[in-house]
Amino acid sequence: MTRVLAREWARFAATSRLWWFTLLLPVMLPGLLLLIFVDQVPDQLPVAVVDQDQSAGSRQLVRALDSTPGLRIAAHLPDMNAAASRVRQGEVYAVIVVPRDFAREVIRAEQPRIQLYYNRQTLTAGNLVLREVRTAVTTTAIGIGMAQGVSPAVLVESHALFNPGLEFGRFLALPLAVAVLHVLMVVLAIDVTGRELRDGSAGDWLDAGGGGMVTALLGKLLPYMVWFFVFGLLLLAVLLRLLGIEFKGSLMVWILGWLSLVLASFGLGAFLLGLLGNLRLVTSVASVLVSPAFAYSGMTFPSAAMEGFASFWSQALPLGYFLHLQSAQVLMEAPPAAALWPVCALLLFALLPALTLRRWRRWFTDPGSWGRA
Amino acid sequence: MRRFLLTMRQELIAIFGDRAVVLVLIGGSLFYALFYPLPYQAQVATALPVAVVDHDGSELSRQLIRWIDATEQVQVTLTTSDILQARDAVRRKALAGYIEIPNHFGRQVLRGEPARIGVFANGAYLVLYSQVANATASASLALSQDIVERRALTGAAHSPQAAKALAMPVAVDLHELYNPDGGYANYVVPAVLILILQQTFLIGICMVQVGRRGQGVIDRAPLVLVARVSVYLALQCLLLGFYMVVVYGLFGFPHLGSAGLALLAVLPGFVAVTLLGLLLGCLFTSRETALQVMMLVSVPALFLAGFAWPAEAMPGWLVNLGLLIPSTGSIDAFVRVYQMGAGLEEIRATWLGLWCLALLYAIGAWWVGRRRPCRGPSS
Repeated sequence: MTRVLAREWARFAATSRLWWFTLLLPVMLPGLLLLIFVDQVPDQLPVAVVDQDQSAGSRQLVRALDSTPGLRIAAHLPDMNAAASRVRQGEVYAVIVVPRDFAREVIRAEQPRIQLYYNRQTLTAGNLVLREVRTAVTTTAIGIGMAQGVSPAVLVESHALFNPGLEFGRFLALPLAVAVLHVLMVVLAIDVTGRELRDGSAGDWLDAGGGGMVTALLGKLLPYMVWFFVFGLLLLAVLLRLLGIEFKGSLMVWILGWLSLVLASFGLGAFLLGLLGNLRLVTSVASVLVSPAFAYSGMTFPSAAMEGFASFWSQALPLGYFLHLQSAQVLMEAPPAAALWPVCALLLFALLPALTLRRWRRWFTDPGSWGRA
Repeated sequence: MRRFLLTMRQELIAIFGDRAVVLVLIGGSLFYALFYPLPYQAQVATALPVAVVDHDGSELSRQLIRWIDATEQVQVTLTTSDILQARDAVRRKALAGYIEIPNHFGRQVLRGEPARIGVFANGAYLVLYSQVANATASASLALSQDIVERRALTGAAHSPQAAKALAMPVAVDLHELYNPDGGYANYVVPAVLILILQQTFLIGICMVQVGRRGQGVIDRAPLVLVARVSVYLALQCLLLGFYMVVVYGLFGFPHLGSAGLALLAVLPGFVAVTLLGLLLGCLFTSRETALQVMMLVSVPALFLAGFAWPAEAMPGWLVNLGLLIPSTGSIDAFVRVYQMGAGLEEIRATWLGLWCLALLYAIGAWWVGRRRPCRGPSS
């Protein structure tokens, strides 16, 4: 084992690409994601107003909208045509039209109707605007009603469990950073093993392992696994601190889950290489598997709502198991038992290379299979 | 002119004579475009399971539960008086949230006092939270208006319309622009398609470049550069055409703009991608590295585009940095022209920005070639 480790260290030290994959990119990519989401500026989303009434009443409503924390009135426009163009120019996410005779209709109790045109192409921003405008108008309406001696029958108070400040960006940074590390680990596992075959040094590698395939494989991958396991712990500590997230659940369960994901990622890489034996082909196949993994993980669009093949595929990839385990432990204070199945599933991925041992024997011992481009 | 056509022909041979390049450039572009939309195909999450913790148990609270259950977004799967049971189920993700109706809710309403209900939705998942919160808000708002209206009608001699106005003195009519159903696929996929095309072309072009360096044939005369760019430009246009016709048709994505204008809108982006590829092709030492690196940067690139996450919520300097990636401008231009029906004059700033980017990378590609004749691949 020591000989494999020493041999791998020499290879690592001499290859700048591996320094990038283990030290620089694991810091740079999550760091970039952190910078995207860390800014705690409340989303001041720009909207346009077409005030056809120009009365004291309508101006009061517009002021109420402008003072809503999530909105910023970016433009006052004379008509709908001008406003629609601003939406297409990407300057505003919505147009609020206050009708002519708004104030008079309020006084006469004729229920004036405000028109809200909002951009649902940019779904996240559009929905935020919708929520803010509805809240602001309802609050104004309740105020008017109260002045007339009418109070609403039922009021709703919304609470976001586990996320009282409704800061979804902060909660995206963590899973995205993990998703990037997952890709890195799979790519690295394939790279360090696949290049031995392509450069025709697999025989030398096996010799260093004393002729044992498992020793050779483990000796090669173990240092990277240990490093990524430790790095993940550090990264979590730093991210939680900078994002201001308090760890709610069991840290031990999270650590167990992360260990399982590290094993699963390297296991997946070693399995794919064992199966196909060709660095370039395996990297392409891995790209198909891991690049869309975040989309299929159900962290954004819920996996329960996926249909057909997608709902199957969302269960067939390792990443999602860990991401949900992570949210459950970090944010939702879920019982440790909830992590049982995800950890088991991840360990199954970690054991996958065992299925390819016979093929690995061929890659190790048959020089004819090396160097196939 | 002959040399121009000859270079184009050589480039096409370099692409289509290499199985690995064809696999990424054509195979990857087609496969990912059909594979990425699948998880979002359902468009909206409906019938999410919620519980109602009913401490009241009155006729009115049961009516509220029925109205909440009747919304499309949620389905009441559990009615209980045990709040811990509901909370625990949310922790285990068996429920998306729960609604708490307080004791004396019915009596308070009958007395004419405003009664408050609480909705507790899983805020760790944006879609779950907004679906549950919206469903509860609209159901209880409707019930509230219904009660006040009935009160006004029976109490004093109000006309039906005046009763309505009393219940809700100002109403809001909602008009959804461009994505009528609020579909998730309609929102994500157009942007992702542009990103896919960028990533596969960056990989493919780098592979061709690294291979060419291996054979020691590097010619960086401007004419050659223009010929190569034209080849990749044509391929990208063809593939985008395929996306707009076949992928959009297959998944039924709505769009307002015309395909021709959309092509024109992203043309400078395609030029920039090609030149960036030729530039990066000088930096990678082996053909796999391009693939590995592009796999890693695609997620940050998507979020830097300011689409999945509003640019307003990002630090300004980072938004500007993101503009250096061609997909940032291309996604913005494509979405506004093809999805939202904007005209060229409405995307002018973005479009000119993309041309500037193309110019920047053209200078870069030319300069790198002049200064440092690319080394051959090391492995």
